[in-house]
Amino acid sequence: MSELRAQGLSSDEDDEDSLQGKFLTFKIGEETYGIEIRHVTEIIGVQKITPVPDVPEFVRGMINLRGRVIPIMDVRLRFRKAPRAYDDRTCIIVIHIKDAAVGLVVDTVSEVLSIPDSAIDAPPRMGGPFQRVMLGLGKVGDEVKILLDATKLLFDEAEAKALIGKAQDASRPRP
Amino acid sequence: MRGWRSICQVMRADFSRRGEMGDKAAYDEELLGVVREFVDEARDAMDDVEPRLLDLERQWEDGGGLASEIVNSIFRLFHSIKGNASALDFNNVAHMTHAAESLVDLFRRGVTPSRASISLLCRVVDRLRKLIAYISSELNDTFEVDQTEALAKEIEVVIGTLSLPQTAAAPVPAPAVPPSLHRTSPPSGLADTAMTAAFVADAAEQLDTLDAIFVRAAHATEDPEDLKTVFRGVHTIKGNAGLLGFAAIERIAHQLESMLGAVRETGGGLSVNLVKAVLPQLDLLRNEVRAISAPEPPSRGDVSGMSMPPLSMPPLSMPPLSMPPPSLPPPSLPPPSRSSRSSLHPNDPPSRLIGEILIETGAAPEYAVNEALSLQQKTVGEILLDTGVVKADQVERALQIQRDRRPPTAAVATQQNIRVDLGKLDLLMNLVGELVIAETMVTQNPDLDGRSLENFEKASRHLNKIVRDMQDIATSLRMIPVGGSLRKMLRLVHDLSEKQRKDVDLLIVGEDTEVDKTVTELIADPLVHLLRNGVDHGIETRDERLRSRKSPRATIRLEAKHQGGEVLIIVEDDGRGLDRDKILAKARENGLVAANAPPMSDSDVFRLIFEPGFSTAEKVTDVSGRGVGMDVVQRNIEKLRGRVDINSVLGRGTTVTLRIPLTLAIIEGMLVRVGRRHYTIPLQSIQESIVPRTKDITRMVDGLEVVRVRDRLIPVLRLHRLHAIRPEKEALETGVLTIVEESNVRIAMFIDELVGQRQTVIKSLPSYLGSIRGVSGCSLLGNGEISLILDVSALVKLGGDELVGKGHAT
Repeated sequence: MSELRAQGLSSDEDDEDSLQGKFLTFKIGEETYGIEIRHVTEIIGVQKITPVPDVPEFVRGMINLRGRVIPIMDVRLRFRKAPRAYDDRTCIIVIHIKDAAVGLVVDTVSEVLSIPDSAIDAPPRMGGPFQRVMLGLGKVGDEVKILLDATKLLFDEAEAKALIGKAQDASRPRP
Repeated sequence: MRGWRSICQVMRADFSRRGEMGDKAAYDEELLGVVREFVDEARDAMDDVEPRLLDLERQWEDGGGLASEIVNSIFRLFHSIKGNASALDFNNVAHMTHAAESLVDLFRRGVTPSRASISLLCRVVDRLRKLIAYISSELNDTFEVDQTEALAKEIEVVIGTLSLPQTAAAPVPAPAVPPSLHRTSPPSGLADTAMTAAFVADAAEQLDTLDAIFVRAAHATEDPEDLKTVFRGVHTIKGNAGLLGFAAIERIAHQLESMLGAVRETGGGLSVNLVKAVLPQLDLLRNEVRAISAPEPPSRGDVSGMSMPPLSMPPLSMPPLSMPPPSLPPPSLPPPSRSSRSSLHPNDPPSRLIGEILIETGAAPEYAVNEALSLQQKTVGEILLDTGVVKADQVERALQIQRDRRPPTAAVATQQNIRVDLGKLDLLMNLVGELVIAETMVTQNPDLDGRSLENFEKASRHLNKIVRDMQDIATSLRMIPVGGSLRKMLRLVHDLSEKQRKDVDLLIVGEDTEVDKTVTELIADPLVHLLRNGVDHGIETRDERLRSRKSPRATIRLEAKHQGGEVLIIVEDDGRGLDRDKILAKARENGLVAANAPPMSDSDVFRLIFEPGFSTAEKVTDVSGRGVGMDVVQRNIEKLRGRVDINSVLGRGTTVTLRIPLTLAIIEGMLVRVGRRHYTIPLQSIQESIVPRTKDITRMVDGLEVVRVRDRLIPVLRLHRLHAIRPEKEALETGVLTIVEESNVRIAMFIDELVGQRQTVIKSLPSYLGSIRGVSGCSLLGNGEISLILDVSALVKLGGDELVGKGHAT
């Protein structure tokens, strides 16, 4: 377990103690996911997204965040779930990793949880295609939160490549 | 001087102690600053020395006699590095510069420099560059000591051969004026006004610091660091003054330094007595510095005399604590009354004036010195009047002429500079960019649509003007003269031509042209490639040139100038030119041009040499010269959103023109709409926009559409297909075709409508998105939306498939 944590940490030098073990949780469908809070810079409502060509489908485009242009990834589409219309509960979590700011579209943001290392299990070995982007499974009370490795979510090359290939095959006009 | 040494030893001890701790960060910040300053200065000096050396060589070759100004300036540059280096105990550098200095000194005395000795000096410059680079990273000067030693030995040998009595060229006796002693004003042409201004500003600042320290010391709060700081300050002034030839300042500073050194030696600090003794000296220094900055009294020119009374202000015999007013005398002051202080004045500060010494040593009687001094206080005009050479009105007229001719900016010292971290400038640029966007977002806010708001309009126009002005200023902050980058090429051409045994002159024009700092950095590589190719292949051998009745000496002209919103960098040689047929043959061989391709224009053919495929071909040199590395040129210039044009006449020479936009932050663009998306097309690429008639459109078998515009057939790019957008209009006749051209290729972009012309701040695409075909960046619109900036040079290179819209199937 400590190994996993170390991996997560090594991807980012930012080691503010106060943020240790804290996760921002959000929902996609019925599942609750968590992302290390030290990556999160802000949470905003959905705003107008400018689509860009030549990117995988889950990259919805860019937004203008107070003069900064940041790309937007729809986490729902990233996990190949059915698309869902954005509503007023839909949020964009802006995270900052490796000098890149990226907005993550999620169904809704839940809360910030402290999950100690001891309450995090390694992802199941036989996990599906998305096992690589998982940090582990956090147990909070009798619930289980899927903790994501933000760096891999953004930059997992092997998987991203496969997805981009798919996206390009399925190039269809988008409004 | 001994005192100075000991300070340095303290400083060095500081260095080595901390060095042992192996922690650079532990260095005294101040000390680190001193070293950094040294490194910067030394680098500048090297950049300065190099072209001068080459100048020197050329002058001699041309039989242009003694270029004493150049020699002196080279000497001074080496000397000042040496001084600073030995002060910091960088012995390696000091050793090297000392050797170089000795060699240059010979030239000063009239020995004719040999070609070998100059290339030796060039090697010294190279070595020094390495040493300085090492110092700047390692903070000590122990890099390849033996190699430095060897080079110094070589110089000694050369010195030996040069100083052998040469009956033919008996050395002209050196004008026995050691460079210092008697001059207050800089020798003309050597220290330009900018350098002087910088010196004055710097010295004034140093003096203020020193004043503050002394005042503190007078209040009996001793700090051992203070003496060190004082020492450093005085030494800096001395060094810089020496470099610029302000001898009086150099001398006073030197005296001060010795005084302080003696105190340091005895282990004392800044005692009240010392302060009392030193302050008058500081005032003297300050006066001298002011004398430089104030316009010189009209007639001072040629009478630089033997003693050095303060020039523009009466002596300030003041108690140690009161400071002279910091303001400069207004530039329009009449010739200031010369100091009435004679060297014999009892309250004199203990400086050794030449008159005093002369009396002391019995070389001159006191009255004679006094008489000389009173004469010296007179202006040239007065003296000439006294001796009856001229009449009063003639002098008056001459003075008037002199006043008229003086440039209005004569008071150089009023210009003040500060050094700013480049990162901060970039930050400022970004903020200003965002301010521009924010301003548009406010003044063109959609909420305002349809309202008439007279006062708001007025206020927003005002805001707009301020923002634009601010943008201009911010942009200009990053602009620096391109000269530095161009001058670096002198050495390159010199070395290359030597290696190739070709005589090549590099002529640099337009050094003052200002460009963005990034541009100066990014053109360095292309210039190297262009010039290397030019000398390597463009220029013929001496024999060939003679055979084709050209001057055996080739010329490469390197010019920078502004034209419209662009900077042009032109490299023009008078070599053999490009051979169209050979290039074409080679290109066919390489498959770059189809055998049955339609005839190409000359410029299209020449452009082939920029193709990477072309440059990697074997023996490009046999074709025409030109080729290796040319694609690097192309790519770097494209990075700057610039263009490369090439022109050549066989047998006459080749001209390569780099066109680079003045600023990299803003473009004039045409905002267009496709479906619900907005694009910005750089205005400079747009030829025209048309609504086509049905009969002008031809649809070819493979689906490619071609539109006829007057006599040209232009392929149509349906942007909506390339970028998978649902357009508002499908039929070409209903939309707009915007015709763009890049690299002589035209395409017609099919869009829904033109929105309007906009000045846009360029933002790069988030790197996370990777590269998007045909898009170079993005910009924010007034309503907060994002438009993609189209990369026309990439769009014109798209293949037919992509034009038709099968682009994604890659």
